[in-house]
Amino acid sequence: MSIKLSSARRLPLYLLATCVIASSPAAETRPSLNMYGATGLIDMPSGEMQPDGMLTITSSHFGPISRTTLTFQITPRLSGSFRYLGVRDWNKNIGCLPACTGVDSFKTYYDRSFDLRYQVMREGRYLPAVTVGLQDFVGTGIVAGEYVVATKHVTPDLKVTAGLGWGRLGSYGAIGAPFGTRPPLVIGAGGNFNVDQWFRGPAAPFGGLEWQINDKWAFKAEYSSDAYAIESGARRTFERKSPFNFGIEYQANERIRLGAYAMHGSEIGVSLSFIAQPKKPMIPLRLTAPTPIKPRPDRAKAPDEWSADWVTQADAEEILTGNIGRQLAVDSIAVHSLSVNAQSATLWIDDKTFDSRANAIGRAARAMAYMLPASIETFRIIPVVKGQPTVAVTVRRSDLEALENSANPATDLWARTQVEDAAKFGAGSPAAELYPKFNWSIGPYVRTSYFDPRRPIRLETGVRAKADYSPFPGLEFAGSLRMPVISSLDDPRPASSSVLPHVRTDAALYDRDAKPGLEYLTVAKYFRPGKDLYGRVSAGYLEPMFAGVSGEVLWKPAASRYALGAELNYVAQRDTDMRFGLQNYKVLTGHLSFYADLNRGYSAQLDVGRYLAGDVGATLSIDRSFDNGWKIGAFATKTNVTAAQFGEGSFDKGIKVTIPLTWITGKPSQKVYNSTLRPVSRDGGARLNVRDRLFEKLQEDDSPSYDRQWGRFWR
Amino acid sequence: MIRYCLMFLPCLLLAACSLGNDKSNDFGAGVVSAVKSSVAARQAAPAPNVAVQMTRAQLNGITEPLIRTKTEKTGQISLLYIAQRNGNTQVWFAPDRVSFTLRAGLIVQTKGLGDDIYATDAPAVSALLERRGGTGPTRRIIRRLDGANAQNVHVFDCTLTDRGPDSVTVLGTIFSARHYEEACSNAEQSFANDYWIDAKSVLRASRQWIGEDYGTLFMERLID
Repeated sequence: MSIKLSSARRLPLYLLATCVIASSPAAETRPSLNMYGATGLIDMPSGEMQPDGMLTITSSHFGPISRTTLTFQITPRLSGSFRYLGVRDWNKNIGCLPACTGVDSFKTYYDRSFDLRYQVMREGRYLPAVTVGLQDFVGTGIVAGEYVVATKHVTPDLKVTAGLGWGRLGSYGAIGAPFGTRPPLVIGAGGNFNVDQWFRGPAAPFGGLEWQINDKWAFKAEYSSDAYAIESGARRTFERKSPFNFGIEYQANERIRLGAYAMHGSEIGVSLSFIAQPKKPMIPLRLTAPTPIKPRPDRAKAPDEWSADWVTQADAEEILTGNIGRQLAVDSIAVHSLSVNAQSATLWIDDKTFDSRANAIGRAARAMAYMLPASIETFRIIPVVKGQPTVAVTVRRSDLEALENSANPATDLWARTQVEDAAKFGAGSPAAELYPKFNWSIGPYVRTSYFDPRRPIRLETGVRAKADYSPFPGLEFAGSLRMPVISSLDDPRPASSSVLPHVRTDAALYDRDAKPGLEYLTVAKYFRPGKDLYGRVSAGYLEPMFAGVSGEVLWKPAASRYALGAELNYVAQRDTDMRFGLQNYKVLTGHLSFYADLNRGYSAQLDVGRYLAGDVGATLSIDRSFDNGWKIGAFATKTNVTAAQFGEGSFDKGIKVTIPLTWITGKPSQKVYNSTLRPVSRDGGARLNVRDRLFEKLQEDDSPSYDRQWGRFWR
Repeated sequence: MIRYCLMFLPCLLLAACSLGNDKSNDFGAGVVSAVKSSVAARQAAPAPNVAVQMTRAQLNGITEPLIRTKTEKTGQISLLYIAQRNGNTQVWFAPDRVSFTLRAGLIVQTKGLGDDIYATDAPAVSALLERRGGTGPTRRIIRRLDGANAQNVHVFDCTLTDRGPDSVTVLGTIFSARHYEEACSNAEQSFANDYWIDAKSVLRASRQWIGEDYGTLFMERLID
């Protein structure tokens, strides 16, 4: 890379001084995004952060350059981005056509990059917000740059930004190299942290201002310290005439922001940002009003109603089960079982409706208060998952009666609620009409594959038929068949060159051959081996690429923030036509998993064990979850496979996003959309995708989760 | 909407009776049948809201308490009946499965609106409406559940003011009443509620703020 030191108009450094001495009210403008999808100006970053938890997708385009960036505000001061960018005309003007080779062979050059930014100082009355950032800090580093940047409001509507950049951001108008020269980048297989390069080499100032004209419109101007040495200099994909960029942005609504820019004196740029705040649903949740708590009559005035004589009535339990069942049917909660005596009642519920378990427990308690004889004071409610009891929630009926309308009903009731493991209560005897259970569905599906340099987005859509059958609680047969109708996933792709067993890199063959494909066909048994313990054994065609047996035990106490799991699988690779045949490759794979709820919505999972290719190592996942079901996390796996053996990317890593349907529709539902984004999918560090892992199914059923959700009890 | 009510209520009543020891029937069967006949009479027309054109004569013979509401933002009119009493509170249901929990006429909870009041702590207002307390500065705490299921606590500084004698007309009947105002504000929001208490100390009419999205609800007591 040649860095051209030009006769730059230096950034007026008094801007920095302005920031520091200006005394103005705190931030009143919204922090906006730049064309890298990071908080900032136009091409340059700023010192600000987005509101905590904000998730944004920004697509920006100018000249030959397109970038699409997913940015998440991980904590109030830390944000991270994943970006996919393309540079068109990559080999058009370098005189190699038509016989371009190597990196020159791409017509459009695509690259993935990760950023991290940390705000070291918040904006104060006199001091600016200051952020330190690493752009494209891992991997091929084509847009790599580091910066320190400060932003200060000088009036409530006008903010000024000034910073110092290295790497790409120090490539124009550098003022020296305060931390020494920048060593050349060692790319290897990619995926390395380029620590040696950070903040090394020429440093250049950059800056600009943003004026928020009104609620909708903003004007931006910046001085860019990016020379576009490769894109403009070496490859002449566009002409960079000026370091100055100007733009206007329009906030269409809370979720969409548009921008138009004049870039580098030669190009027009546009950007579009989608903004999602997980804490703010697209449509606020609206439920139908629940049955009010029905207080019992005064005991002195109606002693008959308080009599426990009803216990002698032979069919009392059956009638009460039916009554509560009808009452809960309104909310699509199935009564699994009911057991009553003169003073207490235990109700097992199978809730398939509510996005929050506390809500289902609350509705069940209301139905019990409405239907049960007055002599019953203790209500025990046990959510049943996969036919197994989870935890028992015990509330006193007199507390329900007294606290429903208190000034602080959720907190007051939670203080009087007990949650304990429910293994000792068993699963009751299920209502006769519940089993056998049979469900089926037929519907459309979409599958996607990203980041193939030949075709960045591949899509397949078709029809999927699913069914499950449960003859009695805990035993489940399930299957799913898909038939692609329109597909770009099956376009010919080069055969995998992986030196490891092709446990995942033959995906293209499966996409090509499986029409139709049997996604899974399994029998699974769920059980409770003891207190705080859960078990699962599954066998059959476990996932699209593997078949075999899978067993798992999970230790998860009802009051604990921690859980421990052990899973062992023996599987064989399936034929690429996804029918019943198996290939020769067989492997014993399994993991010990440690799950920790780190409080304030952060959670961690560590899996240690043997992966599908026979490699041994560990996966660390960190998630930020919101109490409405949103989850955003990142994971990385390192095994005893070398970077060279692994291939592109060096190790397995990615981002996971879970969006609950409730957040989109405002209606209660347990459906969630899961999306896993991997920059590249290889054979090392690959896990079996067995369905219904225990922790997934049980993570909402413990007292720390109920505590957070308890407001929903009364809703 | 009325139809949902009719579907919902009998099911509860039937279910409740099947064990044989549930004699209390708080679900206002009288109101239901009145509404039912009224609906039947208008079935041909494209669903005019029964409450809109209601006359005093239609209520003849109905003894169950009844409130008529109007959502100021949308103009939607609805009838509320008491679904349940619990101590000094009553849960009033609208036919579309929305409920309002009232204490001496003061809305302390709403359910089913979306923009709901989760709980209210306003003892001075209750005391005023129950003729136990007077006017002056006071405080109101409203709890709401936000989009991530967390409880948000909104504390308001309020002033209760006696606006003097006034008259309210409900279904053609003029009631002489005393008008009180509750003006509340905090850093983010402000609202004002009005209460008209008649000579029998019944809260004859009121305007009560529910929330930013829903706005204010006007209520008038048709049957005591």
